[in-house]
Amino acid sequence: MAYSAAITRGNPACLIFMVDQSASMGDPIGSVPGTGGPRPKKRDVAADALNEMLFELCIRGAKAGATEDYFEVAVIGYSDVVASAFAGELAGRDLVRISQIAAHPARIEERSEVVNGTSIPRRVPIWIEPTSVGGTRMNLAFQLAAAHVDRFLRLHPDSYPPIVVNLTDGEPTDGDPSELAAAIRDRQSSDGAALLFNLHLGSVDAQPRVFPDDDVVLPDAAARQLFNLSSTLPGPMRSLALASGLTVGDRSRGFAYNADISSVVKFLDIGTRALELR
Amino acid sequence: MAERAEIVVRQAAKERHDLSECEDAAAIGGVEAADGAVEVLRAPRIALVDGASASYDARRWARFLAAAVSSGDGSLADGIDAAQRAWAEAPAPGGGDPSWLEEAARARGNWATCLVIDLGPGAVHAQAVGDTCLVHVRGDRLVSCFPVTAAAGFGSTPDLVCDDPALPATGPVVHQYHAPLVAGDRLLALTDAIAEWFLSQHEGGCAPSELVREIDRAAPAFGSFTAQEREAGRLRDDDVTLVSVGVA
Repeated sequence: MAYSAAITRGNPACLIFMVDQSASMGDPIGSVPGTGGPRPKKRDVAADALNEMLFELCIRGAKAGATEDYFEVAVIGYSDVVASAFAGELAGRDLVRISQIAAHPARIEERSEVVNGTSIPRRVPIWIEPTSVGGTRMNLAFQLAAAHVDRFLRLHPDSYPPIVVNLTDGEPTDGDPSELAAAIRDRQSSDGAALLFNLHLGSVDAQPRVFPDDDVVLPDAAARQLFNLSSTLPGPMRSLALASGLTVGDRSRGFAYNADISSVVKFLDIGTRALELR
Repeated sequence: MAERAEIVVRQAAKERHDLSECEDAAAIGGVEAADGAVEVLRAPRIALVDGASASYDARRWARFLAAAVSSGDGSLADGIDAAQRAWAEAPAPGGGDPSWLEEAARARGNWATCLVIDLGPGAVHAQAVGDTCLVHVRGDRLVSCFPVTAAAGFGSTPDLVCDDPALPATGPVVHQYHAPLVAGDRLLALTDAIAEWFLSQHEGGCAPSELVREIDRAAPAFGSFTAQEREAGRLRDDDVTLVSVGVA
């Protein structure tokens, strides 16, 4: 059965995050109408979500004595420049083993979170800093992601298929990415085709659309384009989404439109929980 | 009266791992039974535990839990309660200020599946949380595979026992198995990957007695056997433990 390969340190999984760092990511994120609440900038939401994902992957590999290299992760930032988005000691690195990511956060923030009405201090490692400047060279980012996928699959042809997650708030400024996206989705391990998911961060106050199964529900051509770039959710992920209370069908795509903070978290959780270990 | 048990324990670690990293643990009467252990006992209590790979200290928790729940003679639920209390009082290894990673990973808890088998006069009683299995073979017949009954029943989210009782939303569900035993019966306690292998082979037409013979032949070189079956795509890459019990 596809999308069932065991994830081990000899057969790790590959996750590639692409994050839009263009000027418009400095705008506030939308929220569900009527919910109110603070509206942080999209760049902050994206950076927080990526740092949380990296934190989660580090925890999954953490073992007493050492961190197991179950994952190799790249974070590609794109604006006018397309490059690794890691800060600190990992700056400039492409696919990085999770043990190296765990060992080298750029910094540790002291935050507090409220649990059952009590404020509890929490140390939060930071690898990705929020950035918003310039244009949206998404095509170039897809090219770089494809190169990472190729390199990973050459070394791990039987791995769980690579997952590429693109966080963006808009349209590319360097052309139509359809062919490049299709080329990524055509890459194969023996366990199935690489997965390309797109997470659109919204600015308007409207209901998010998570894992839609048809582009007719989407309001504009840019949204429909991102929908069509996205892979169909494989069966195990559909099961996870259903178990989380989301409405999904056989044709649901790995796409979220006008995502707010809550749906960003839910989307990334479903998109990567299939990589949980037993 | 069928209660004298000839017990053999065999283990193999995941590919590219040493046995010293194996996160399965077997114990008999409160004492860990390592790979290669051979015992002949009357009315033993045997535990087999499979530590969840995602846990920070899965190996230590698996060994601790196996020893704890195999030491008494009460219910598995009571054994788990006692193990959790003792674990909470046991000093954590290391010392000094934990890193952000250790602090966060420990807070997630350590998790494991757990199977306990009691052999008594003319009967076997097994209790299980999760998908570590007891295969009961009599002659050419599969009496039962407990608690998972078909190869398709193995998934990625079995019920698990946590070291911290405060973490799970609900307590573990303990499944029960009672069956008469007769001399000559074979019992195989198997962690999930090798249990899935057994059921797949059986569902593919292999007689249980033939599978038992294959396991007996493989036991002296268990690592080679698991490597060969993984290479052939018949065995998932996971830690594997087999506790074979011949009833005399």
